[in-house]
Amino acid sequence: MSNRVKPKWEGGAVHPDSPNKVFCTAPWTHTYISPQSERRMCCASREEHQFQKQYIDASNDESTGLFKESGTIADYQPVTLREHWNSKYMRDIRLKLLAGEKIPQCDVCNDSILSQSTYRQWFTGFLFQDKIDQCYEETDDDGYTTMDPISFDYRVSNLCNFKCRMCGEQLSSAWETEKRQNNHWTPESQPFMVPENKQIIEKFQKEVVEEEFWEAIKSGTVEEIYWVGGEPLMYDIHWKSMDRLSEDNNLHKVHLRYNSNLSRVRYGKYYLYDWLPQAKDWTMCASIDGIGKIGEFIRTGLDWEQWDQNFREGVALPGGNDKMLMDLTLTGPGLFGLRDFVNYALELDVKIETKNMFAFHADIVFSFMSWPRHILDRIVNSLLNDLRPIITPKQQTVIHQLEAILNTPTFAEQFPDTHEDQFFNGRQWQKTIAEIRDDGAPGEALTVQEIYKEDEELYNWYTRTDPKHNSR
Amino acid sequence: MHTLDLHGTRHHAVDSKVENFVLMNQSEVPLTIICGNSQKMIDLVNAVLNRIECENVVMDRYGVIVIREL
Repeated sequence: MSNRVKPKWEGGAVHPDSPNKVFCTAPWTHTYISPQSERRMCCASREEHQFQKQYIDASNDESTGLFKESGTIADYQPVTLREHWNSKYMRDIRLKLLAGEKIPQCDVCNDSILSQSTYRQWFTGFLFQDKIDQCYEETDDDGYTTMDPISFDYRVSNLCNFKCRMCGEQLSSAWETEKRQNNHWTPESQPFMVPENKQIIEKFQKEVVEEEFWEAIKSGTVEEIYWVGGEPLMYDIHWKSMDRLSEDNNLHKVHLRYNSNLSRVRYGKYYLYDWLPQAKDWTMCASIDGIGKIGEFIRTGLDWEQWDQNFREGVALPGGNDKMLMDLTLTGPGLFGLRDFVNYALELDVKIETKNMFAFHADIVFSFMSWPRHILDRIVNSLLNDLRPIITPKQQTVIHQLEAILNTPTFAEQFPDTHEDQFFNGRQWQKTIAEIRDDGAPGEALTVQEIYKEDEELYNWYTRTDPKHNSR
Repeated sequence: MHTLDLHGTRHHAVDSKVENFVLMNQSEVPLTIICGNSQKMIDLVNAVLNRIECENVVMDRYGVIVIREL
């Protein structure tokens, strides 16, 4: 018998005395695939890429010792869900989690890297706590399980109409377009963008991935769908599946979770909000990182007025102000709009789900982690002073995340030898993007430095020159 | 050549259909969109192509829009 240590969960959290604090139900219930056919345990797991590295991959982070470049089309060896589900790799992971062994793939949850509320809590404490025993019972000594995935995060393509500044071409076709137009890509760095490769990937995603998902939809066994992309509300398969679930009267079995830019809630004859109340439960994490002009700057493609209207229509649904969430990614420029952002949430009495911008490299200067410690602490403390008195439990994640920033190493602290060079590289990239996206309207185009003018010390630091980097 | 034929498509569905078609097939330009003789349909298509900043768009035959370059 393999080593097994059962976890103890209570009230949605792992018990402090639990002998197994790392167990997660995801490898027994949930499955994820990226637009480039990379399968993962979940979207937060840090694994190694086969063909196209994903932003959060362990193989995209030099500190893990697993860093490697993206492969070539010869490395594109996608597997079906059936092949993946009880593969040697998955069986090995299951055995380790059953034994309470901490695995590096789960570091995002182990160390609360992106958010204080972890995905492990979601799957194990909330969604499938009732299946913990089943996971232990229906897994044999080599990790094989008879349980089938009932929760899907299938990102069938990178189709998205936004070019959010913290995103990229792998998850946004609009970013892809911009990179093509400006020759900001190479077949080596982005093999998925090579036209011939794209056709191969698209064929697999369409004929295998969408089909296996469609089979699950038709079977009526699906208990959770995480609709995310790309932009899920642009996916044909989204509207087709929801229509089918509704027709089969299966929506009431399904917990729906969206992460959408909410640029559209209608698609032909369909209206998203007709379906949501039919679901077992639903959550709309509507991505928004600033309201008004700052939001439109961070999330290129956003029409604030349209978003506001779409969001309010969702809030008006039964329970809408508990189920419509403002999904906030904290960025440097975004911190300057945070007070208005929180006030908007207070006005609508909605929750804010807060996470930090992903930043494992010091050239990500859009992140506040690029700022000097003393400036970062001053600005964050000022926000905390202003927001703590007005915030309700629904916006508490903002406070938690701001507090966590004070204890997170800045780039200068993480990369003392390289951060300065990387800062200038990153700032040059921001400048390039600003030039591309400047629509020429006088006074209209925001830039990072325009936003930072609000804080003189930060502005002076951000716009500084350095003899070594004068040309940038 | 990739072609989207909008015959039979309702006006309210044009926006998403055209945007998805262009973004999904961007590596395969030129792309053809058949609008038919309806000026309204042509205007709707052009509005999307302008919004997503297609750079080289022509209509050599009335009602047939070709995106030569994104």
